[in-house]
Amino acid sequence: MSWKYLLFEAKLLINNRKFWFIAVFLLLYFPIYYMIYSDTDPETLQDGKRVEQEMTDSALDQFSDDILETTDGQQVYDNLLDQLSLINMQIYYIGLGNDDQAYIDDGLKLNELRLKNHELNNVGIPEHLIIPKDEVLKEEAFLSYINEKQIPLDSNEYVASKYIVVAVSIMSGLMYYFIVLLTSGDMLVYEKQHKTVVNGFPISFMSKVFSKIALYFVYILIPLILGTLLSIWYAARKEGLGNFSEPVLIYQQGDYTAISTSQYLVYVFGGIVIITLMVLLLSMLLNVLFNNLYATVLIGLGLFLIPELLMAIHWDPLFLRIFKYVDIVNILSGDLALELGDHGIDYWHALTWMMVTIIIFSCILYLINKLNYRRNLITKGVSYNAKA
Amino acid sequence: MLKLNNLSVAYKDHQVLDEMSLTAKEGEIIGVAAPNGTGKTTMFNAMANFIKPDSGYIEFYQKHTYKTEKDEIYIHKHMATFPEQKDLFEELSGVDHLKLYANMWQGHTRHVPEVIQRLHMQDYVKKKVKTYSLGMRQRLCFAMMAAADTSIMLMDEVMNGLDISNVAIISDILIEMKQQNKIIFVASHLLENLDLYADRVIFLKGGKIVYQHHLNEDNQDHIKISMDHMQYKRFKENYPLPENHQYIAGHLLCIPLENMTIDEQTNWIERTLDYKDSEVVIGPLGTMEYYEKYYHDFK
Repeated sequence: MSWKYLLFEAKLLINNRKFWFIAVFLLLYFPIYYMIYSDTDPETLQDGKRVEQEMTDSALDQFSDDILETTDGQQVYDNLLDQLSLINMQIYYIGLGNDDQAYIDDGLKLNELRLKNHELNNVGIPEHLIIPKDEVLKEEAFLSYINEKQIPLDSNEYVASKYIVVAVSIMSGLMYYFIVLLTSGDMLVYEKQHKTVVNGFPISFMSKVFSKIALYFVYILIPLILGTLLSIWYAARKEGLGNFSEPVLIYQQGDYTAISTSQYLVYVFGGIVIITLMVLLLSMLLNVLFNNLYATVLIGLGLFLIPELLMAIHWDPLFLRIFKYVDIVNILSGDLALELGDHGIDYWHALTWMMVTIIIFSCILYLINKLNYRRNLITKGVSYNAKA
Repeated sequence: MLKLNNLSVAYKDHQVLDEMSLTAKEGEIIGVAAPNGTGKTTMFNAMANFIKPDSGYIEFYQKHTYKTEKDEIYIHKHMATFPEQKDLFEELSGVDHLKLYANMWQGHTRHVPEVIQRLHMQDYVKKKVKTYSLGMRQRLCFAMMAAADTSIMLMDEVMNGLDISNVAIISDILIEMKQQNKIIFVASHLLENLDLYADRVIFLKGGKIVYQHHLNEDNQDHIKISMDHMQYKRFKENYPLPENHQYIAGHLLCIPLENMTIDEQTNWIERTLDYKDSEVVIGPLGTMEYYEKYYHDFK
């Protein structure tokens, strides 16, 4: 029966204009964003190096003479000079020199020098000109991966493999959370308008819940995946497919690791699968509790935004952290771990907790239904044992 | 078998059902005749567990009650309730609705074409419900029940908005359903129509069943003649009426012919012939007469 019910619900979805609108949005988001993105001027490897060049130059200019007289100061200054030289060479290698391997070798040397300066507390370098240690570690992981896999450096930021990483980072977080909430906000509530048709169906509440969640899950993910493939095809036609084995940095177990773009996308979509399930269950729970589409969407958004507000007053309630995990790209990049100062927050940590939340939400739904049934019996005093 | 045991439902101070008990057996159509606000819909809702009674319980085949959700699902597998027109899905077609009910209760849709044909819905059933007239919607609601084909059917206001030919078709189908051993509850304002297929008609008042009219048993003939109060008074003075006569709703005198000799019966008929303007009918009391009897002064 649940299968038949699911098919019927699918028919309702197909006949609903709101769902078509959301499906089209999901389908076209990535291709349309590509058009916008291809008009922008993203920072290339060379641009990044030029910024580093300027920063190092400034650091040298502003280096205090007093500190230069100390042993550590002298060492830091010499390091900076070597760094500047390496950066200049890197700019040459990715430009006229056209030598990827030399670029990587110099890059690795550059990182060593930067880390050495960190060991020396970067004495004499103004705070704003210090390359943070995290950035150095990221760069090191990035270059080591390229070196190990012998991947050519591609300066074209518009190829499909590079674009898709940018596109998912824009979609991740509030936007995706809102789309799922909006789509599912009335998945139970709409039945109020058809209650004499659907009330007596011989299926359990939980079967109904899981049928609906399965359907909405498929409904959201299909256009999303199709949209992603469509944008990859479109970007490949325009600028080329790129290289899906190029590295993307992720934060794992307190460290930065480079993984291939394809593996990164698998991580992101794995996360999206879990996030979708969790938000759908949250939406179902809010449907049951508040019985109203607007309440579901607004309270759902509130749960996402409240942690941000609380963090502004330096309060980080652990139970609300789960809503921050919805931004899976932020988790993968390690930005959330840095923001919250908790090095344990990485991809698998977030996924585990979201799965636990899914189980908790399912249990709450089950208990609410059980309690409602029981409460109705108790408050109304139905004497089922009257016969006995 | 479906049994209502001392069912009581109150909305705040208003007692809608008051310790109501009733047993319905297979192959029986029970008509429910009562004006609006007497608890017909509440009774159906309680029977389907859409509302919980304050006391009392429903029993299904002496075995299942609405004690757990599992029991509820078991009962609902055997019970369908009549959908309201306003709750239909406007964007779906009639066929979609029929398939939904057929699938949910029977697990297949093989019998749906037959239902469509039987109710003459071929011309419009594939169109979206939003294009239907009231009568088409009502026919669809009934067809959905036929597609569900459950052993217990609760039909509230089944004949609403239907023309004479459709009332006749549905009445025929109800008789066929009865022959299939189903238990059917039908609430309808078409009282004379109830007499065609119902085995008994229950009359609700004050939250109780005030009378059960067994159509196959209560077939005692009466002379039925319309007369106003003054005429009735005069008639009673001139001819001592039998004790079990009834004067219904201030306009209908019913004289039972049971235990009368042919001569006596003829005498009473001759006496009524003085009332030339009134129609004299001989036959058993129908649902209409009982309805007038119990709800004549109902507000």
